[in-house]
Amino acid sequence: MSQYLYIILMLVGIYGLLSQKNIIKMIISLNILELGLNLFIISTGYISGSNAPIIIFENDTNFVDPLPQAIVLTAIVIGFGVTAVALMLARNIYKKNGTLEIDEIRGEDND
Amino acid sequence: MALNNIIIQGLLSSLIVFFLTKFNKKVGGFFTIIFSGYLFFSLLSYQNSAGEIFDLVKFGEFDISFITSNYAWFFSMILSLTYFLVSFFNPYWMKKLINPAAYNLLFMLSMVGTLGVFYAKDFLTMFIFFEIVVWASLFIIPMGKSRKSPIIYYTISSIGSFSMLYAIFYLYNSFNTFDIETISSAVISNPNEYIFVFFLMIMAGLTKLGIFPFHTWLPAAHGSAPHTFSPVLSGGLVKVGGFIALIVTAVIPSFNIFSDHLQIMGVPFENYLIMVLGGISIVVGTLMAIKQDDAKKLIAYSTVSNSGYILIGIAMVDQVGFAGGLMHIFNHAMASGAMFLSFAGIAYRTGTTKMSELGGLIKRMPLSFAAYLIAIISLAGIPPMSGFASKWLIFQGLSSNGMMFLAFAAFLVVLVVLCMFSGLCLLHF
Amino acid sequence: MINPILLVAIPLLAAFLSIMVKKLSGVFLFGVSLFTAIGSFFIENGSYVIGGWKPPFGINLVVDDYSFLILIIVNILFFLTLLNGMWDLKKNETVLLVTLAGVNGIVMTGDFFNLFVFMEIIAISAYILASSTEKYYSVFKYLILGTVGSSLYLFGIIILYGTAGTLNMADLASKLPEISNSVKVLAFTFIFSGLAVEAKILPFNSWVRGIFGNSNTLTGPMFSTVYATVSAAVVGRVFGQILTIDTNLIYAFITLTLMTFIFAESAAMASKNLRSILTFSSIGQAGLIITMFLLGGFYAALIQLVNNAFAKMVMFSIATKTYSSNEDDDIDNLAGIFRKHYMMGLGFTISALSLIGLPLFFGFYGKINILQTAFATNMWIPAFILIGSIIEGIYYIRLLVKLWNPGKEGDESSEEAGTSYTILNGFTVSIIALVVGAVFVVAGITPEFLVENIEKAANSLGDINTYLSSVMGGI
Repeated sequence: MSQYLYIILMLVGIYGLLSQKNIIKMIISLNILELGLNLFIISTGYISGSNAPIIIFENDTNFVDPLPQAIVLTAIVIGFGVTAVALMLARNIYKKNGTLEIDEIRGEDND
Repeated sequence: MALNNIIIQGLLSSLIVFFLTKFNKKVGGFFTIIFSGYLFFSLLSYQNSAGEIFDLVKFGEFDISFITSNYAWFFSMILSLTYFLVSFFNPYWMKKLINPAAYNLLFMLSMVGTLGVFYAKDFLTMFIFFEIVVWASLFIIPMGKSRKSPIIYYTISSIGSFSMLYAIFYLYNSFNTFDIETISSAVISNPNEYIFVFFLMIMAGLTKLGIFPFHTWLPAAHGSAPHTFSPVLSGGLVKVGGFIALIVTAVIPSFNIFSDHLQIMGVPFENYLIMVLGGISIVVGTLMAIKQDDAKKLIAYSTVSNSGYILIGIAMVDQVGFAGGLMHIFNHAMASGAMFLSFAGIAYRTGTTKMSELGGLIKRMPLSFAAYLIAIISLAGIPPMSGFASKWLIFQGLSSNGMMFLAFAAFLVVLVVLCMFSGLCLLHF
Repeated sequence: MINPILLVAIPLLAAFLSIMVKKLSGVFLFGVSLFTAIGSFFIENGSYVIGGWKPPFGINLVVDDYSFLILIIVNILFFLTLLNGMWDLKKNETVLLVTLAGVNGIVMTGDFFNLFVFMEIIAISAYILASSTEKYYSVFKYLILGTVGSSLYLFGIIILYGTAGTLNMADLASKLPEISNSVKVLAFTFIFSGLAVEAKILPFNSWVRGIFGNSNTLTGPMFSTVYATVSAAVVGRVFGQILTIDTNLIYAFITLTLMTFIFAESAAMASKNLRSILTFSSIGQAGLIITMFLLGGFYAALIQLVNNAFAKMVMFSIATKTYSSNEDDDIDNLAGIFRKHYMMGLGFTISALSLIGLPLFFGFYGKINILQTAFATNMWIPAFILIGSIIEGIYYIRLLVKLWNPGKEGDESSEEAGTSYTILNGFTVSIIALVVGAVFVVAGITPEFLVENIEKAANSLGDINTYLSSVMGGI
């Protein structure tokens, strides 16, 4: 059930990328997309009735799948790096054009 | 001397000429005479050999090899003679060209390319050398007057050569070979595949010959090429297209293959279609030639119409007409070469080839005038020049098969050509 | 014999060191690049386990003939790019070292998620590298598209993980027949979309115009050779060998890649700007190469890949040098520039003619193989390829004619009508251009000496069983 929610989150992110005109809002949409994706990935590992995959001293082997959680850790860090680069670009765009609306930014093809 | 050695020496000679011209322009020009003459004389010995196979190089998993035959010898003699005779003009033109070293390199390279096309044993070799001819001549043309014309030339020529490439690989996919003889015997037993291939392959011939509707590049390219290369283009390279047409209609016997298809006046409809195109280009070429001011463009349009004659002769596959077509190849090569060269001489002296600016040169350049006169008499088909013989043979072939419409068109055009050329001659000399 | 993980680890180590010791970063860069270029010859085939966990539980690096070939090509190209772009290096050394590590890793990896990680490493360093041209908005568009693409890719591999339970390439390949077809179609579409962004396939390639079209002497050759080769090679590995797709989906993908080829060539016809023409040509060639990978013609694809990589190296380095010397690369203004720089012109001409596929050059051998493969499948595909080739030939010839022969229409070509622009500091570029040109001509006449390794690589790509046994044999 919650998987549908995560897919909706991804779609919200994509919709945001398509419709927003402000660079910061586009970066936020990108983050929402990545958030939905990461949540979805974690949810694929879920087995109902299982515990978190941390071995405490009982011989309890009823864990959810830990691999997607490892994947998501990496993906979160990558998303963080990309956001950092995107914000650097946003700052430079602002310095160069004085605005963050993509309608008002001059095209940069082939000068 | 072995054919593959001749080809290799030709390729090396183009490099040698390049470096020599960088060193001294006139020396490079003289060496093109020597090298092209050497190629011409060493090919003379192949007059009666047929079916000798020479391997050139192993290209991946394919072989590039040559085979000698009578028609190959005929064509290569014409071409190398044209190149040899034209090369006598080269040393004097070196200083007028922007890039004489590249000119000489490409001159020799295109000569070797044409030889490779004629002696090719399989379609892949033929295509390789055909394309070498195209791009070698392609880079010479913009040294002349126009930068747009080589692009039109390349476009139309690529359409032709790529349809030939498509057909070659279609045949390879069906019969798993590139070899011409193997394919022709395989196709005889499968005639239905051949229609598609026939039309695709002959497009390469049509585009190179300059037949309607692919004739637009010819006046642009031949008219604006450097003055010493126009006779080679018009008298020589156009005949490579004729050779492709020959291969497709005669060497792979289209008459036999299409013998149970619809026949129009005794000729299979595919061949008839080609002949009609040839007939249209005769008329179109001559009509367009009448209103030209630039002499080189005029001669180029006459090349269009003469290519139509050649194509009619070859596609007819009637013995007499075929002989006429082949002979006309020789006549047109010599005549159009002579015409272009005499105008090259005029351009050397006066700097222009526009007829409206010329006049009264008969006293100053009597030999050029004589050469030009003989050439146009021959092309118009007036006895005792050899052009009369070839045109007569083509007419005879046409009328003996009952194709009066084409014969009438061809004959009418001869009259127009006569009027036009004599007018030209008297007016401007 | 060195362990191939060194090809990834040493550039990363050098990257971190270069942050600490800023003065020596140039030395690190050239030294490590030289090391990888030479060291890539000395790795042996096999599956190398990382971290002690054997596959399918751990990550492994697979070196077979295919990755061996791609590694050598990419490392050599990287080194040559550095030589070309020496003047524009500025502060990019760290990023370049990370790029080198990522590029080496992505070719060798044997695990899908590892591929994602390396893909992101390459992408982020590409964003930073591209921003050195100061065209920030184009880089931003690239960033958005690239991130969406890699998210789609991740989504795709998670779907596969959800059904097959493994992310290891060899293990997944052997489990593939058990997965239901509809799941496969969904997953493969997402994975293809993700890889297609970097590989410049329609409709994911709107970023290419801004990035390549505005490149400087470092980013131009780097993107068009190293990145292009690696992206195509990854698609080749993933879709050519590991994931076998059924025919309907393959035809859908091939439609996209062929459309890429034809539209890109048509767009190049309409361009008047030297770098734009080369950009669209790169897109078109990428479409062609990936079409070949999808059709199963690995030999043809690899030959065209090598051809494109080296030709674009020469052409982009000349084009970007021209731009950086003159601040202008409109072809009308550059008429006749090769008259002044003969060697560069010769190298450029030979590369262009080899790309078109004219005989006497190496590209023709590629063209023959492409047509052979295409004809074996369908009658229409070779027709489209030939149409695209005609268009490509026309605009390249137009470009070459203009750059060699100055002069107005209707006048004889002469020196005086030439451009006043020159290309500065072009010595390295000329040498590289001439060497590559000579190789193309020699390989065009006797391709055997060059294609032996390519043939081995293509055969190893077509052979999934050797791959499986080399990885899983250790289990």
